[in-house]
Amino acid sequence: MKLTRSYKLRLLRKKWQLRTWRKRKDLSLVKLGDAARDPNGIFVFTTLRNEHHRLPYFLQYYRNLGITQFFIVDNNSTDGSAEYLQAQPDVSLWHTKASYKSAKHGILWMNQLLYKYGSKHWCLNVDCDEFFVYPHVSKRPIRALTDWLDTRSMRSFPAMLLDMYAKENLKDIKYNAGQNPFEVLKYFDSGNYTQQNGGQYGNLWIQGGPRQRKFFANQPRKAPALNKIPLVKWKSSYVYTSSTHSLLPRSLNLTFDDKGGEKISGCLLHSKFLPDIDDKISEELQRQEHYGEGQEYKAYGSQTSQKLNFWTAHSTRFQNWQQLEELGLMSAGGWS
Amino acid sequence: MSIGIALLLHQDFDRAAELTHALLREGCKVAVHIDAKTPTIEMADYAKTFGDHPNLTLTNRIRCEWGMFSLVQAQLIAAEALLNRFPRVTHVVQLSGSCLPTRPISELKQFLAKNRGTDFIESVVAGQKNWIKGGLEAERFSLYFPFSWRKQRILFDGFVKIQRKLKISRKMPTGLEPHLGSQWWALCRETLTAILQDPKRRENDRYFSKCWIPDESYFQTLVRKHAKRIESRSLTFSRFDQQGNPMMFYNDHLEYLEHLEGFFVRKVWRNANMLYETLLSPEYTPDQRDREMRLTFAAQTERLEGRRNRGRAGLSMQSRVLKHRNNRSETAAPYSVLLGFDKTFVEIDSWLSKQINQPVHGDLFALGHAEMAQNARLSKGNLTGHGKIRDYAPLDFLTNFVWNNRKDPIIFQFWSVKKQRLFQFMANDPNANIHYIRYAWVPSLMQENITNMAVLKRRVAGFMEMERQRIDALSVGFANFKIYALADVLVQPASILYPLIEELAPKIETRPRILPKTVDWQGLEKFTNVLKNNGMNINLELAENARPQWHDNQSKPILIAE
Repeated sequence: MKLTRSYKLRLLRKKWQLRTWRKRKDLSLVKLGDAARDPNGIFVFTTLRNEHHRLPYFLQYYRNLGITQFFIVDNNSTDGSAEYLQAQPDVSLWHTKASYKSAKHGILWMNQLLYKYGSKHWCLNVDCDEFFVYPHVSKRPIRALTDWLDTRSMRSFPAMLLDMYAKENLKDIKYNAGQNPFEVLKYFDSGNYTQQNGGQYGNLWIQGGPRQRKFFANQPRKAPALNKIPLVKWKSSYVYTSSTHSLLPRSLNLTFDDKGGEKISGCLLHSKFLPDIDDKISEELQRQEHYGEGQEYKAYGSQTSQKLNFWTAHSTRFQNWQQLEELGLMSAGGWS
Repeated sequence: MSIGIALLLHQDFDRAAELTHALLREGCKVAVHIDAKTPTIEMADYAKTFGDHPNLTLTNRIRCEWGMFSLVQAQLIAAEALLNRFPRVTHVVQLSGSCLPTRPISELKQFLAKNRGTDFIESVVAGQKNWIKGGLEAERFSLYFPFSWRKQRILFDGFVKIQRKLKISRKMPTGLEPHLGSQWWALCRETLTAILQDPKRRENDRYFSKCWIPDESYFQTLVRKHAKRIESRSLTFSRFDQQGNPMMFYNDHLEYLEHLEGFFVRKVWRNANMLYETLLSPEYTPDQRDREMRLTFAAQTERLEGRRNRGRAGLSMQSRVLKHRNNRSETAAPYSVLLGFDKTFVEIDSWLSKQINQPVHGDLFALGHAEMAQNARLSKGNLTGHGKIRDYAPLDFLTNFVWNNRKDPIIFQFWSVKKQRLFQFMANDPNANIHYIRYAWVPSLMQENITNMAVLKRRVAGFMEMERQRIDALSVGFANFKIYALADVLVQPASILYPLIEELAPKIETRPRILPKTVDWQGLEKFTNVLKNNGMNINLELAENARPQWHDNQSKPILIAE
């Protein structure tokens, strides 16, 4: 039984590899950064479309953590993102006009770049609106974390998506390009997350947060998944299977302890709810390129988005990683 | 006098060079053993920076394997080289490339000059299970360990198992008693010489060469034979977590390091630039050691370190899954559950809340949405009382609710007939304090005026079955519980409510003068008589059952209600 299951998962992994391989012609290299082959590099992998105003802070944030090279797929941006990225020395850039959806929401492109450039490196897979927070992030660079994970023989690191929002209505938010989004998105939900265990990939399925209570109250099952495993010491045999929610082989998803202890974990601060979400919603509703035919976007659209406001008297104001750790959203997991 | 440093290196030679330079600058004599696995180029680069420094000697090299005797050999080689080459060395301190001084070397010199003839080596009698974290203890000495734990794990484990089956038990050379301790010791010349020239050295070495992690036992055992005066502590501060992994030190530890015990610290992260710059600087002049700082450091470290093993009880999160082992449920804090009180008293929650001056929630699992205190729709942490979200994952709702309110008293009502699984969970939770009024459903059933006896019987049977399951669950579960008889509650409410208030708020001494109104129960006796006469075994004066019958005589449960 166990053997057949692990063989099934192996076949599944091969299938994902094959899918990835079939999309190999989607991407055309625009430029390869200087440090793309640095054997000691810690890399970020990203797919994006029209994120120009978010990019300066995004790059700056991860450079500060010690990321040495960004591998970015530009899905046919029209807002100057590509030109901006091309001018960055630590960015390797690919361009594609192919469908985001048929590339399994970009994951096949990511798998492909990871396969080619990520092997033997610690690779962080994030979107432009996701900001990685880990224990000691304010004082220690990401290499301190990956070195520590290496000494513990850990290969993957979980970071739950934490939706951040402002106190004001969406239309009243004032955000300038390049600004730290969390100067305006200061709040989050601290204690309303549910998790299920036991999918075929062994990963947890975490839901909840402001989006569930605001948009999916009547169909909580459909609320977006918040569990992510963005940081992995990559090997060529690995594949992401569903966004960065799960990987194969299955053991990479077992990032939790079920014997009472806590493993180490972090959070991805999600800066999605900035004023431009409005344009995105209408664009994505037309493109239908996102999850479940843009279930989520439809839900946003049905709210009068200008008045969109997640804030309540029970919202928690973000301070630092220690706060998230104390709240139990992430864990130092023994790293002191 | 002068201090000799036996330095064992295997990686990060740029950092090691900085350390070596600083040690030489302070007048230490240094013997360096470099792991033979190191590429020659790296080694040459390292050696080149010292030229022909008179106080430095590079020893011949052997291949070192973690957990094996080769590490002890390297230590012996380096120590021997120091003693032979530098006759004025009085103490030898064992260091690695990832150690850093936390106090100026001059202070160490003064300290050792004051303690001539004393050996500083952690040396604890083996077999007391208090020194080793994660791993074998007595078996380190009694079994053979020819295989590398890191590279030949299967062989290693298999061989240990076989030896256990065969009851292998090696004998230690006579005159020795097994001791364990940190390998970062500082021994005086006399003791070290005695160990190196022990007449039984060959026998000792042969014995220890098949022990596991002998670098934590070789010197620690032999000093007990040769030393005059032992202080059983290491001059190098290091910490190990429960898995036996050494703690790393980073820039943010800087403010604490000078206050730690000892004169060195291990292991320092290779990129902790600030630590290297500060601690190796000739101008480094730390303050006096401050106990408060040391305690703060220990508390902070233990808190974060403890996460891995113990975790926080009742916390369900991305890297910790609640495991309800042996049917025992896990929540974060004690909470009180009232069952049947809202069916017997009018507006009990607001009355009770006033008496004990704490929020009392309504039925958190009521149909529709959670009835939280003050009609709130959201509670701490933005946990919503929305029925669909709550019912999507009711157990998560409960554990989240308890986690979010873990620092406050938690009191809520519960009834939902359909949520037996949830009740089961609470009945198995040592944190739950359950107050249960039996037959609390009877008055409201009476008010329904059901005339069709068949329907009434079916309803009654349903309630009784539910109640039987709940009482059974309580009687075998881990929760604290009290079961009250409906008759007592209605006739003498004070006898129930006073103790309840006392339990929920022990500090409040005044007894309430006004009791809550009970529900209308006129005709209850007649109603129950009707039920009884129709064959339903109802007894409103009954509180606690004897244990369910099948527990006593193992026969099948008898459903009395039918």
